[in-house]
Amino acid sequence: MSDRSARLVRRSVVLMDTLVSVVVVGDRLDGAEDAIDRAIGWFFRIEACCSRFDPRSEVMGLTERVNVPVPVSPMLLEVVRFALAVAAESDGAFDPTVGVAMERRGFNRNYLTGRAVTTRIDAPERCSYRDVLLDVTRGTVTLRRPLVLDLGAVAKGFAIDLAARELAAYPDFAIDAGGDLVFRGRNPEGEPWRVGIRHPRRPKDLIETLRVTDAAVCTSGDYDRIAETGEGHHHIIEPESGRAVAAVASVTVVAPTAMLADALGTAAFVLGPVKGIDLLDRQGVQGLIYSPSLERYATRRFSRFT
Amino acid sequence: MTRRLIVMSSAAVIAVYAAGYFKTESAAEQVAAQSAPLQPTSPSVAISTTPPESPYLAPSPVAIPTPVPTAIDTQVAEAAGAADAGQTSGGPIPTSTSLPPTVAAPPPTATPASRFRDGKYTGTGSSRHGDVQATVVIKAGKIISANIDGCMTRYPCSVIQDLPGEVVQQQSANVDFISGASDSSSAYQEAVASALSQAQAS
Repeated sequence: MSDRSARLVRRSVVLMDTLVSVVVVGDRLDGAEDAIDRAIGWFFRIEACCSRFDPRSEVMGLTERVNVPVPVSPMLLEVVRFALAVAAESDGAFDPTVGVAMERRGFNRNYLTGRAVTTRIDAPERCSYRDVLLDVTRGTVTLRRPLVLDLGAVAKGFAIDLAARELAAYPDFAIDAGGDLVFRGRNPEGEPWRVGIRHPRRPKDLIETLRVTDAAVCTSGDYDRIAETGEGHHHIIEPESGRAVAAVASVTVVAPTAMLADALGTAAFVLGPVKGIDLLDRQGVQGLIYSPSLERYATRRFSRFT
Repeated sequence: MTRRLIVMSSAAVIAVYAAGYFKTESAAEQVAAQSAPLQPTSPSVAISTTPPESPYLAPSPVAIPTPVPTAIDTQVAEAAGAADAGQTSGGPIPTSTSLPPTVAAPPPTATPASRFRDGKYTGTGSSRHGDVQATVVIKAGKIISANIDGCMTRYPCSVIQDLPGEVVQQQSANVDFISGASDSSSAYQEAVASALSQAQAS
């Protein structure tokens, strides 16, 4: 089933609209196939819970139930909770309530069925993360107005972190979910994992290479997920204006978890190079931002990865 | 500098593990359920509302060695005993982990009636580097594996996704993975779908 040589087990599966690859390295690989199976299972659960592209997902069930505390699964609770925390820490630069705005800009197609998801809501652009109330003790979410939660950044990272937890018995592994990565230990050559960062303007090249261990690496770029409709702009939008961010070409975050790296990367993207790096510094993570003219901005201790 | 978000993201993983999840299908079956065209499907995941004593896919039973506190695992708490989820390095422990959630779980959809014939099927999808291959195995009408195998022998799939041949050779000699999304999962989706379409009963 998996590609297995003496020192590693590797598997790749298509899901969450991307390719997920898992590599477990080491001399004692008993049980690795089963662990990889369980790890991959978390991606499906996250999708069922958090996908904006499936009208039957748990999160999409919230949209119409306004001003009612809705009991949610522990998984949805934690994802929404984290998204709201990042929104607060970034003063709304990251805002998970941009779901309808995203739909309207053409990011609304289910990658497997091809069906478009369209939510009819009046005045959707007026909503913000403050319209989402969470009661952690009771496990409920209350929407103060109809809106669609876009949990993409947070959910994918969380899936990676949950998957990584399944592999905790193995000291050396890597998980790649479409360019969002988590690493533990060392690569098959016994060295820190080598990660190339995609060049934001030359798709065939890498702009930088990092060496990391025991960390997550997530990169957002203005070159991926171009909308099919309209002006062909990318998918990271300023919550206030609804426009695609123009000041940043690429953000890479290196952080202890993928959920954190993913969400803060999005927030930093919206904030722009200077405020973005400042946010990352304040949150105790490392990061790298390239402007469209390829000016490079980095957190203070980013050089330890290069 | 605040570690609030760092702590919260680690705690979230522990909380979800502590809640326990019951998996009714293998990962491969869920791939198939999602890949089949024109079928209304969704993975049959029932969310448990009781402590995890029912058969569910628990995290690996292998004992996790006493950790040197690493960045990823600031807490080590096995799911079974995670009611007081370890010591965080400063934040409050989420109380929700100790309460069985009263969740109105979405009704699990029934697994679609089998429409696959037993056997092993390969499908291909095209990428810039030539074809990518997927292998799907059907047993008793169910998909037991649906994996990509065409790009593993030489380069990792993540590397060949978007780089032309000669660059792959140079670049992949220097990196294990590439960070930054590429738009080419379609080749792999195509390969899996192509394999499944051969398996479909007429």
